Amino acid sequence: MTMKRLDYGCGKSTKDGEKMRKGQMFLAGTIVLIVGMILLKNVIEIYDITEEKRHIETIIIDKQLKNIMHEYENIINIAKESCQNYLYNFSYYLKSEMHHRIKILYVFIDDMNVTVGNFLGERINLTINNVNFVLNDGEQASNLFSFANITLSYQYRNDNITEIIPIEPNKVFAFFDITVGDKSFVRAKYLYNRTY
Amino acid sequence: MKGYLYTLEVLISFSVLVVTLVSLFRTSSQTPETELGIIKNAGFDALQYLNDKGDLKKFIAQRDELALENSLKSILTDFEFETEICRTNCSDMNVPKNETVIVVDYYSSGYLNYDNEKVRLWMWKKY
Repeated sequence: MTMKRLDYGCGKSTKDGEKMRKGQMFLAGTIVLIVGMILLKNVIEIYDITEEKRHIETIIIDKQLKNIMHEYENIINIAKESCQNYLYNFSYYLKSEMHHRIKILYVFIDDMNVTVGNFLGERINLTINNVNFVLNDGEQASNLFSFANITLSYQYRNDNITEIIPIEPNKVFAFFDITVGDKSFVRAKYLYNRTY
Repeated sequence: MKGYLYTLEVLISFSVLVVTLVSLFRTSSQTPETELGIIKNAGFDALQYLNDKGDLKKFIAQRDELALENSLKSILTDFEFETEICRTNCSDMNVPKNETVIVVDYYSSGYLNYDNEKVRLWMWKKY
């Protein structure tokens, strides 16, 4: 009995089909690459948009902070008396407007009379030339000192902050620690002075 | 002959890849989210400019919204806007309800005497 090989005409043509398929792999690969690129582009775009949005937000927050810093300086320049009250009123106003988006601590020194205002949103322990103050949020306290320099220390969150403010005659000094923003924020600590 | 076909196929694939790559990464898209930030930034800059010029505090002290808006018109040429000089409750009566409106607050502590006020600027796109 002889076995007859069944040939359905696939012999040579099957080989050709394999080659054709191998050939089409280039096109299939291209399609896979294009799909990959589109996905990659979307990921890069989302990242870019998030970064750009955060960048613009930070610029705006920085401008808000500069606006507020400038207005505090303006208070010190225009106030002939009651500067402490104006600083308190303005801080209270900003806090009522911006709520948790603003945190302020100010120290105003006029002829050795030191006034501290706390609008940091929490109670703070503060030391000025070894005199301790405990200030609740929204409170202001004053004390007279007779030192050439003011050494201020306070703890805010987990930071221990110490600032030395040199006192000069015929000048008023104001130290500010201001933070504007929430998740993205900008913080400035600065000293401002004005000659009488 | 088959060799030519393969080469042709590789060339077509490569061309399609290059065309796709160029068309995908040619332009950077600007989304509405960043656009709003840019408009807000422009508003803030305009108020800052007037303040640096020394005009803003005068307008606030005189409660002169008309003069403020006239000054802003020459700066914010691409936007429609409305301003209000107020302390806490700012009336948004003239602000359209069917537009995406960006709000900018600029604080002031007074001109010659202490007085805490703010300028609220509403901005929306000009069509």
